[in-house]
Amino acid sequence: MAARPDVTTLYKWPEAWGLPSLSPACIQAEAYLRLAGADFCVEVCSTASSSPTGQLPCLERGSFLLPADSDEFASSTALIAYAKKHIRDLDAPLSLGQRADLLAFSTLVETRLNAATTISCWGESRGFSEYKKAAYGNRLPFPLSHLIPWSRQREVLRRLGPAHEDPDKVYQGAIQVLDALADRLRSSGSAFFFGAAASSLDALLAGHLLFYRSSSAAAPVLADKVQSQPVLCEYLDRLLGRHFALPAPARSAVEGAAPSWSEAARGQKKAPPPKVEPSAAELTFRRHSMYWMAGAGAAIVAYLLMSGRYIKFVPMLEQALEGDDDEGDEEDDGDE
Amino acid sequence: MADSDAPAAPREPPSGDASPATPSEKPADGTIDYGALYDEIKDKPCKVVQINQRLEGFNGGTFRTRAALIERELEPVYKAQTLAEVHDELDAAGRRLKQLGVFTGVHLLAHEEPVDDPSACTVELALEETNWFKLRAATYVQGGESTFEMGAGLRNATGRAEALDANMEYGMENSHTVSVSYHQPRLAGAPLLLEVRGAQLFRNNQKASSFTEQLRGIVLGLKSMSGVHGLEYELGWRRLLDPSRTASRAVMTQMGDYLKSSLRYTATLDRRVPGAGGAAASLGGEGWALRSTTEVAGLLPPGGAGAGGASGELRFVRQGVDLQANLPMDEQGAVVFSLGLSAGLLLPWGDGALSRPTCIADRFFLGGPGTLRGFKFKGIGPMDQRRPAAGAAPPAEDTAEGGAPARRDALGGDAYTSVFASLMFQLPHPALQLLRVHGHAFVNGGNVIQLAGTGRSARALVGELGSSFRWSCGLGLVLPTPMGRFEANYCVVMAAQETDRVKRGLQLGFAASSFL
Repeated sequence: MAARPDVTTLYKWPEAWGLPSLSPACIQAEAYLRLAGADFCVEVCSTASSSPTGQLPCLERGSFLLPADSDEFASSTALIAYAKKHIRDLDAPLSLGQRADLLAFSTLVETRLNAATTISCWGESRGFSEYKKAAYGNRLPFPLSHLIPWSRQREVLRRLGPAHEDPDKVYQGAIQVLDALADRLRSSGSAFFFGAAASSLDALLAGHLLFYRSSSAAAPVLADKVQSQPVLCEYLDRLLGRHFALPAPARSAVEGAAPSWSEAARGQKKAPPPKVEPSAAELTFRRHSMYWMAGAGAAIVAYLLMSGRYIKFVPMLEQALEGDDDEGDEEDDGDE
Repeated sequence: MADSDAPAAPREPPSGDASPATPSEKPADGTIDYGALYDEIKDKPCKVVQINQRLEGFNGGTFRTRAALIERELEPVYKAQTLAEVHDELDAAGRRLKQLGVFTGVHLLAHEEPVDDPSACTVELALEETNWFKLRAATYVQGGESTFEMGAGLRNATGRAEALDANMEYGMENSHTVSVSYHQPRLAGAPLLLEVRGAQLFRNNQKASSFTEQLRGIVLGLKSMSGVHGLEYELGWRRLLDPSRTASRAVMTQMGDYLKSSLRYTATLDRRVPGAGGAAASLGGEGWALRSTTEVAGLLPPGGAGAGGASGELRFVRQGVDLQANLPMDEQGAVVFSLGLSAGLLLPWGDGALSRPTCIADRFFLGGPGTLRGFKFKGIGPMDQRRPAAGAAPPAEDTAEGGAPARRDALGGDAYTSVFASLMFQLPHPALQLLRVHGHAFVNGGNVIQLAGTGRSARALVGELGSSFRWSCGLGLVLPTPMGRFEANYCVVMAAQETDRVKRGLQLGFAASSFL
């Protein structure tokens, strides 16, 4: 089988609410790949366990598979870090001051917005049912369509820990961040956060902001905040228009066909290797083997005949002799 | 003892059997031929008027089994009209009471009271119960791995002969199962056993096929008391994952969540005589046995659009047949010829089902000391190349010899056949005979192919089944253990395919046959 083609594949949740994916983490990952101008195809997975690592989003590049992380946002952060190193580093042209800002804002996003999004999807009963409908809706048969989301919800809430107890504080924190982001965008007036070129922060923001604006699983307080800031809406529209205009190709289109069995897997024998004439040494070896086998066979036959345990010649001949005695002639003493 | 002319007759105390009461006669030589007497009077009218019960709890404790249960099993005895019928009914009642599985001793004795009515008799019933609590630890071989099982159970705690068990099983390859089950023998008086079991199973197929399986579900079963028929319904959630991230592409597309809802019917015909047949004892004795398993999955709950990608509802029909015949070549069973045939077919159903591969956890695998000797565990059949380790170049095609072995996943197949013919012989040394070690010379063949998702015609596939048949032959020693037959074989592989994992030289392992 040929070496795997060096295709970059992103595994993600399916589309919903007009967004590239129903999960903010997958939107973040896809946004970074699109902003970096990478050539990739997508594979849509109906449950998290269908992905090669058991977690979504997941990146496969040729024969390399990015290891899974504990939750979705950590996976997308790891994916972005990998893409920075191996595909294209969007943060390379930033100045030192900008990098400091990048670190500050990224940390804000990761602590506050991640928590708010998680609580909105998994902690709120309305948010969870909307999310469940979009994610698992009619793709899973009946008992599983309740069992799998329920077990996932338990896991997510357990990892969220004490923040789950006080959603109000979390939402207020997120709203502060959104206000700060809007102010920063308005004051800089540029297309993206750090100027005309995109950076990794834009990818992180795209995930959360798109989710708040369009998803019905987002908490109303967050959705309203995004919609009430026109600068954020313009920013998102610009991002969608420039980079998300064309849908990414599906993996099957890129590979040409559904993954198929290799020839060996199907049990088809390869053409037999061309016949090689045996060398002189081999011929001698074969001849000697024949002699040994013949000798062994002769030994077995001799044992059978001469040991007297299986075929008793002497009594047989004696009987024959007794039978012939009447004729009066003596036969040989039948020795071999 | 037998010399009075009075109607009272001597009694014989049997165990677990009914004895007839006979009027005495005085034959010439002073002994009484009870058999002839019985034959004479067995059609005379006789009925049971009373059954006296002597009930003993375990170790002198209270007797837990409910009276209604015992009455239910004894009811047909009252309907007997003649002596022969009484005898038969008492036999049957004793068997039924034993089938409940809660008595260590069942004794029935019929005698002639009341004396004034020659056509009436009374039965004495003595029952001794087992303990209500049971702990069990055992080891056995299942699916190619050794398993250690621990279980605790409550037997007959409420008096209805039910059994409640909790089991934990640990396999050597990191598989484990936890299950809780409830058994009710002789459900409502019918010769049926009801079983309800909830289990969580985790099976690690990482080494052979790079995936792990987790199955959580419940099983509802109805089996006949004789063990011939069994009907089970299983509803479970199966999750396939690959924690090692080295699975081949074919296995990777299989990962996900599945709903397994299947109905399984098993019929077993076992005409082997255990204990007979000398060397055949490790295979269950002389005779033949046949088992057929039919499983239909995807019936309930209806609907479930799924099946677009990997996850969804499993829909297939699976049929397996196993046949075994042991034929001693001489009277003492020193040389026994044994033949085993197995075949199985897995067919998916539904829209476009044959264009997609079946779920790897349902497929058949061949290879290993129990199924196809001379090959490694799950060593034959369709294979796919694994993902190379990070940083390593993809391995060339034929790196099986020298260097790192070609890393392939065993994918299993949808149709398989296997043949095992062996000549078993006892060894001359008395010490080995005491250990019941015997030798065997065998021919083992088998093949497994993929059907669904190949896009080839049925004719081509059947042709492939025949043309790529694997064969091996060899000889070895067999040691029967409680965990199955332990075999040490020297095998020569006569026909194999390039991608098979062949075990050269000596192969050791447990061969648990499908019937043991």
